Amino acid sequence: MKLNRLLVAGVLVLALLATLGGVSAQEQVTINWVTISGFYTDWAEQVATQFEAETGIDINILDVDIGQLYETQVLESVADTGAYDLLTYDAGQKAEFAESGYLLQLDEYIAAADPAVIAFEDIAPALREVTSMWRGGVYGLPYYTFTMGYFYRCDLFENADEMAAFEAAYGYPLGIPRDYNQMADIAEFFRRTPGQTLGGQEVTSDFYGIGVMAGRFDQVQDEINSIAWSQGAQVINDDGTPGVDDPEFLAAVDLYVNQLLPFAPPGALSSSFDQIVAQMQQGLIAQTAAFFLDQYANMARTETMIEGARICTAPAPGVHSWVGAFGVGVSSDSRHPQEAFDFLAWLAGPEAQRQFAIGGGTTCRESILTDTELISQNPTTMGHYPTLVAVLNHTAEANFYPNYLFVPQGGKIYDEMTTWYSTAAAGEMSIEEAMANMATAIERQCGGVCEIANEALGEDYTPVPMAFDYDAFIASGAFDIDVWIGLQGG
Amino acid sequence: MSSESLPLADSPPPVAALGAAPKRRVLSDTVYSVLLITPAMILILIFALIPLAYAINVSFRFADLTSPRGVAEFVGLENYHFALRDTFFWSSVLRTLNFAVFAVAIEMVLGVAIAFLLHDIKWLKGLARSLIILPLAASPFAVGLIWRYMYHPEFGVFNYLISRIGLPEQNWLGNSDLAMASVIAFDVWQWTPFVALIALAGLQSLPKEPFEAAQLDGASRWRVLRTLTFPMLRPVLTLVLVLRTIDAVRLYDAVVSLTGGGPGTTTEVVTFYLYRLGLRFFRLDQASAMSLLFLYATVVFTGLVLRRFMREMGERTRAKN
Repeated sequence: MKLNRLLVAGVLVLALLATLGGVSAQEQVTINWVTISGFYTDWAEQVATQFEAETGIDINILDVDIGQLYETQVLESVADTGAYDLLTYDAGQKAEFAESGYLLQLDEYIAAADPAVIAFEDIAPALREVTSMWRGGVYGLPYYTFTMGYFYRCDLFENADEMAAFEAAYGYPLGIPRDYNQMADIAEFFRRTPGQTLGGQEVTSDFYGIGVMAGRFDQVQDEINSIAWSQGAQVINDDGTPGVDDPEFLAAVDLYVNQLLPFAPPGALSSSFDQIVAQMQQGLIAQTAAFFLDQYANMARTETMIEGARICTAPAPGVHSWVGAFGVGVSSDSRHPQEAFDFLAWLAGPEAQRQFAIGGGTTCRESILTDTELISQNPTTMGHYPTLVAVLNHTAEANFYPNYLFVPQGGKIYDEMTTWYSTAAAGEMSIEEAMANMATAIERQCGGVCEIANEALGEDYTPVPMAFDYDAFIASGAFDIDVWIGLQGG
Repeated sequence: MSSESLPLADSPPPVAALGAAPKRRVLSDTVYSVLLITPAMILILIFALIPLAYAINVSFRFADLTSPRGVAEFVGLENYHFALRDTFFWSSVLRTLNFAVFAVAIEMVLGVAIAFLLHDIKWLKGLARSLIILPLAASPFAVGLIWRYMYHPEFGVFNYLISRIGLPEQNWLGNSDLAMASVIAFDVWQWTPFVALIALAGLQSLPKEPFEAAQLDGASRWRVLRTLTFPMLRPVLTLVLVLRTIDAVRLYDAVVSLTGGGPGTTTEVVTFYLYRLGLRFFRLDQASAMSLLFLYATVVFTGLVLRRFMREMGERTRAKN
């Protein structure tokens, strides 16, 4: 009898423990965030630790190489596996992710959230437009911008001998290029061979006028599209037909292939962004084409590697380069959408983004991008912020967003661009032939005429570039962080 | 224990003759064999045959994973028609064949030469064998990224070395005329040791008597190679040729890490093209049809070569017996 009672009591205790364990396991929420491996993820892990401590929600960060991120997410989303609660996408993939139903619309979550935590209006409007908005709804929040600008060796540009020689040769003063023809002139001018002089000193090895990323990597289309957009050409026309074989677009590709590429180091045809940074740091190039402003900290290291070198930034010629960011959205398959959103709001929120910026990241928040005191304290990592703000403000004011960003097949077209632009750059085909293939590929991806879902930009929207006030930009000192800090009274 | 103490086993008397009941076997040889290969067959079924059957099914349907239709209705031979008409697919097939022919040929020649060298050296043979295994042990993707920098026109070690001997620097991966050759060189570096090791194993297993007889007859080294060594090594070399060819036509990692298929489409081999079609554009139907066509060609080639190989092996075995 005693034994039976003990047995029953034991069973009851075990059942209670099992129930408690079950409850505990039920309460423990894990959010799986798939994102890009690298610097961003290292920072995000720190942020996640703080969030976990405050909320008790587990954050599991799955870092995937950027080359495989797109298909990994699409496959899981199509199969409705619920493997990921948070998805990471490039601005060019936003339309596809939102339209295909991979992302949850967040408007209700944002409305219910603490405005101080989410601070949605603080996100730079241009980045909100290209990364968050789709058909008037919010589908994600940007957390890291790679918006393009322009880098140059201002020590060479301000050298009296070089300035005089340039003006004598081209008939206008050497300075920040205001269009791509000027950039081509500068590229040609600064090409030096051993024995010639540069900045008053004899060069011992080849020096190149420009660094470009013409390899078959994503960056080649960022460069070529920037030229096209700044000149009013479009990948996809307003009527949804391919624009890449139009005369204006062919002229943009021609300028890239025949006026910039010849003055770049031979490695240009296999280069991506990391090699441009290396070329600048090794003192091989005078300027970049449109280049990612978030690389400022790496570029600025040139100043410690090359004696007398100074690195300055400006908007790329015509300004309308690739304005974009990595966005994070809640997967529509998520089993814990509220918790996933809470973490997203934390990640993209003011507090975490400030830490990100101090750690060397390029934030999307205006309050941080314009924090004079913070920038003055961190000139080597935030020296590009004034230029970035100029680019973002101009984009928002112009309300200029390329049609391609509003096409649901954007992610696939992005991949096609890399192939055909690289083919044209390498001379494997003529520019006309490569762009005709690109046009065919766009039609194939869209199944005919592409739908451009940009109605939310307003009825008066027309994708026409707006002139940028370079004189005001130069007067602001934004091109040189030391000058800018001085003008702020710092 | 001396051999005298062991029971003689030359001609054991029949069990029945000893008056004992015949011992029943628990498993017959056939059942035992089937059991042994069952786990491997299950794995092959799961990881090869079921996906293959799925691919065959999809190749006759419309299947765009990112379309609302997903995997949809049967479309007959439409995807095969598309594959046959797709010039980019056939260009990538030609590039793949170009790669495979040159890479495997160089690897075979170099690999066999290295095997002869290793066979002849008297000391440090073990160390040499261990060292040449190193490229095989490395991940092609990871090493490919390192090679990308070694090939770099401005910072790469190859240009540094050739400039030291007065040769013009090259744009290894950016020049359309050189890019495929650079990928081949990388593959040769990684896979020649494989050929060398297999050929070395073959060399070491050759019987000594025919060579000693040839030496006594005063045969030249070349004659020995032509009439003895290579004919006797042929089965091994055929096998390694087949293995390397199959592997070479599946080239992917090296292209991704070195060139991304570029410049332009110069190094876009068939696996890379199919990857783009299937996993970037999610046209599983067209990618499956192309994959099956390519698989069919590979199987036919392998079958033809292996049939000859098996026939020769059978003849040899019969001759030995």
